[in-house]
Amino acid sequence: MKINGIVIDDTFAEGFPMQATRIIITAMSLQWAYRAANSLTGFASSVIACGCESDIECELKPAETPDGRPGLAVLIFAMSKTQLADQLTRRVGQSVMTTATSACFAGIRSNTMLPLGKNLRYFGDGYQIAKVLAGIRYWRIPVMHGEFLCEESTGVVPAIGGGNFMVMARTSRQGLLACEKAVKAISNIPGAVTTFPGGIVGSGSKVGSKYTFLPASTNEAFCPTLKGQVDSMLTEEIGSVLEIVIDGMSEAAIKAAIKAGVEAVCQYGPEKGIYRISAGNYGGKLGPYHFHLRDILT
Amino acid sequence: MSRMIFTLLSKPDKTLDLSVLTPDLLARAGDRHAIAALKVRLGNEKIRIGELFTLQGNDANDIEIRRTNEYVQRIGYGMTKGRITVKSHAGDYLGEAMQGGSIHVHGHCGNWLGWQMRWGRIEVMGDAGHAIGCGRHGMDDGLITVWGNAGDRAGQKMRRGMILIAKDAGDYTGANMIAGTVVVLGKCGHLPGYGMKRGTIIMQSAPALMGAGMVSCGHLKMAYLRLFFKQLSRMGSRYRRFKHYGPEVHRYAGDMAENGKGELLVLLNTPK
Repeated sequence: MKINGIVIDDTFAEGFPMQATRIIITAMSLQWAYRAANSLTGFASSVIACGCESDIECELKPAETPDGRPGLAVLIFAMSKTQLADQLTRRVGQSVMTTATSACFAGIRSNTMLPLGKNLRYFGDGYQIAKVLAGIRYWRIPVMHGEFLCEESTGVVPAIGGGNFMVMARTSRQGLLACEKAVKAISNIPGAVTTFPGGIVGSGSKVGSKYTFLPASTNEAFCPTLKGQVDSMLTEEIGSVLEIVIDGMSEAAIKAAIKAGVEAVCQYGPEKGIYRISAGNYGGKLGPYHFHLRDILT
Repeated sequence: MSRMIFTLLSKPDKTLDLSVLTPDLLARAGDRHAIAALKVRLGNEKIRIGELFTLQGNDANDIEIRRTNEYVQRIGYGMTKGRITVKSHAGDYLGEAMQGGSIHVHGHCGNWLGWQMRWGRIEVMGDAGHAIGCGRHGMDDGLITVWGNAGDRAGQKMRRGMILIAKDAGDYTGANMIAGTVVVLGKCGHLPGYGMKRGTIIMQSAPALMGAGMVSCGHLKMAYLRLFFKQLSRMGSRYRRFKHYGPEVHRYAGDMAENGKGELLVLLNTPK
């Protein structure tokens, strides 16, 4: 299969089950909401070592946020509810609560709720105030900028991690240019995020390593510098491979994101240095969700 | 199913206890004949409902009571579901020990509105008497809205929930509050929040006399009020005015004679 001269490999991306939540961060201005969200989602690229994966889902207008201020919806993914709850408290406490004028609300409701303000309220050292509005409990924590307003809890839902596709280009510059377009296209898909820096993975990994202490190591089959040394998946003209990893709230969100991303990349043809698109999988051993590139794109 | 309408044959001149006219008890009673046979207390005697009211409709979950006056007491006592509409005035103890559902009063109502209320919603279009949302242990939860004036001691001892008074309130509003929210959009009498432990009293204008136990925290922008007014403005067309309310307040904390964790917020820059 070829789109605009770019070969689409007959392969699939392999997703695995995760637990996810959505929170809404508001602040005096969108700029300050971004500062809080960027801090929260920093060092949240992969569960391999970050504890969670997280990214900004979308901007919210004042009319769309609980307190009528500009805000951002942020998705956070982890392998278990316990891990997610732990990361949520740490990250909201250290990144959102410390950001001037910020407030934090639940962006999703479910039968199982994870503590948000419920844990953070203790920062108020006894001066915190609980208020129930429309059946929802909020905590008002007195802080130096005024009050940090935080909803008591946020919902947790089953989600999917590990959706991906790989862009094979002549040079890193050309690959990056196409991938930037892809990430921009994916950012318009609700319920899907790209958690790596800039949404692009420069060092995709495989599961395991020759070193027993490492859970993941470089994916040598896609490393251009190892083409002659290993059983490479790359052809002669490919000099750079970049991966876009997508976490989503549903299979449909990931499929839509892969489609949007690949179509954006395919606008660049081989003449602009993009040759092939592939996807990472582990032979179906890692997870139950298989995103076949050709099925998604037809 | 049509709304069940109870019309008084004549306006009572002595206390009429209507605590049996709730959706819960009427549903338990069954058909209209059984309902007409239920007895209510008028003064010191018990009289069949059929002798006092004409009955129309058959939906016990949606009750309307007509031609009532200030002698008609304890409407909606302990109700857990459904809706009661009072087309005229109501007497004391409206919504006493209410646990759910809603009561809507077109006219005024007497004292002890929402006495020991646990949950539900009461809306009074006219004035209300003294001691709104009070009780031996205070109002537990729910929402009481009075679009007119209120008497003294609104929200005394309240623990949770909200009381909204759209016009003036009397003295000792929110006295001995334990938690919850009281909003007064008109003038407020003497000593609001007297002896309050926690809870929030929001006022459109400064009270006539502030208690010595209330200490000024200065002029502040309360982020919480943005959320509060936005949520309030979504509660119905009459509440839409709150979307114009801002977060600027003069905050007082108190009562310092108690644990001092209550607050009295006097709104600044709000539409009059």
